[in-house]
Amino acid sequence: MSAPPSMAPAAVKCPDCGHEVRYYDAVHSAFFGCRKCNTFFEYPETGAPKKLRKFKDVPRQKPTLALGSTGQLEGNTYRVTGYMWRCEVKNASYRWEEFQLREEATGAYRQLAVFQGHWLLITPTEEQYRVSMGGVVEVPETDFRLYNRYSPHILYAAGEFDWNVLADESLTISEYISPPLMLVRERQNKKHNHWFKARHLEPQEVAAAFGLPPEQLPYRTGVGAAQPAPGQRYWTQLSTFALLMALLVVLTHLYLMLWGNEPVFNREFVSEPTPVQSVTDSLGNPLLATPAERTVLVSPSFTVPGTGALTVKLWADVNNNWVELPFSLVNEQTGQQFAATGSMEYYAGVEEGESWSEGTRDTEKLLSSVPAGPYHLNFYPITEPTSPAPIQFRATVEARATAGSNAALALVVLLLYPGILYARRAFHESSRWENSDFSPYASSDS
Amino acid sequence: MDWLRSLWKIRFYALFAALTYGGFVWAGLSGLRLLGDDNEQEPNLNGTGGSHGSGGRATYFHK
Repeated sequence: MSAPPSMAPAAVKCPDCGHEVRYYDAVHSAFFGCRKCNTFFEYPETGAPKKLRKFKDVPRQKPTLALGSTGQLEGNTYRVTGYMWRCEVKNASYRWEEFQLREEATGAYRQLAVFQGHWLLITPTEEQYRVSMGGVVEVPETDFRLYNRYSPHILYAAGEFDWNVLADESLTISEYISPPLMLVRERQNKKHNHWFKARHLEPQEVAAAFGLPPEQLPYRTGVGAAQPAPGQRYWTQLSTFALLMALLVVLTHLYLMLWGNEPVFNREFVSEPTPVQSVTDSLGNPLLATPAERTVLVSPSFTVPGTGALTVKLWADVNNNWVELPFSLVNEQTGQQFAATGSMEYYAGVEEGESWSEGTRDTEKLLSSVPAGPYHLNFYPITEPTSPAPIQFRATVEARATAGSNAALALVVLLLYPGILYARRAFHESSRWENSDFSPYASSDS
Repeated sequence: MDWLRSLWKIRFYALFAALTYGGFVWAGLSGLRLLGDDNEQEPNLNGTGGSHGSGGRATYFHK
């Protein structure tokens, strides 16, 4: 994929140390950085070379991409001809590296910038963009939001350049993002705007392009300005499809509710009290009364028309009392039994002038996969042993019942992955804007 | 049509979602409750419930 640095065809002598600085673009390059003495100088076509700056800050590590090396990006061969180390004037801790790339076939220049392990491929464009009052650049495909604005300071430069990179310190640079893309505006005197298009590159792409082992690239921390959020490539399709499927589940559940829940039995019963037998211990002392089980009540026969779930709804006329209704559903042909217990209690009163109530008089039980056939219900009521009154209750049976928990489970299963991805994307976006002065997440008082 | 074609990007999720929906419809039509069951009857070896015994049935004692 890449070739080792080859001997550059041309050379100039550093006016400070006399070191020979070799370069590739004999036509355009006029500014050079000497790697031996860290001097940046201009070598005009005519006249003597001019020293422009002697850099004090020198990168401790060698640049990731060696000057003169070549790599393949987007199908084109590029040679690394220049290297810069920059920082923001207002915040010198924000430092990044820029590699000047020269396309071998056309001689066109691009930049490859890396900040905290996040790579951007930057291409100059002749297009001019209009920035709205809200700091948004609107293009037909998407909107770019203002992410950062700063003036750069050149800490170090080496190699060859076709412009005076030190002059960039007078620029105000604005970055507008629509991940994985970025628009960069360089402005001087509020009149001359130069625009650049940038695209986020994954470190693996850079490593593959220049034939480097990935571990040799700067370690990536945080979220890059134009780094796409997780699932960016398919999020629109995934979220839309998941919501459509969730809607389908809800509609199907509603349809099943309309189609099913067919009443097949509805009847009232009255449970009469049985005499309470006093129980005493060996010394003749009365023992605490236990709940009294009343006479078993057997319902008339009814038919379940088709195999499915069955809802048994119970209502009891309890008032400051409770009743427990264990019941069994018996298939009269096969003897198969289903059993459940309904518990109802209701208490009400007035305390300190305010009325209160608690409990409920009704309950329902859902029996799963009940085969079709003739059935009857056996009830075994239990209530307060001291309660002398009969208890009236009603039982309603609905065939082809629908379980709301099935729909809830299907919705959870369907939305789990999109939900996790949504949370990851939201966290990613909020992390991205932590490095920005224009964060939409920033509170107004911060 | 383009949108349908773009679903190829999420084909695995789409397949998973279709299976989930199919399972939900199947459970709904066959009356199967996927989460829990109110049926307290333990099946015996014949696959049918035993006869009801009132002793120990009640688990609810009020305060």
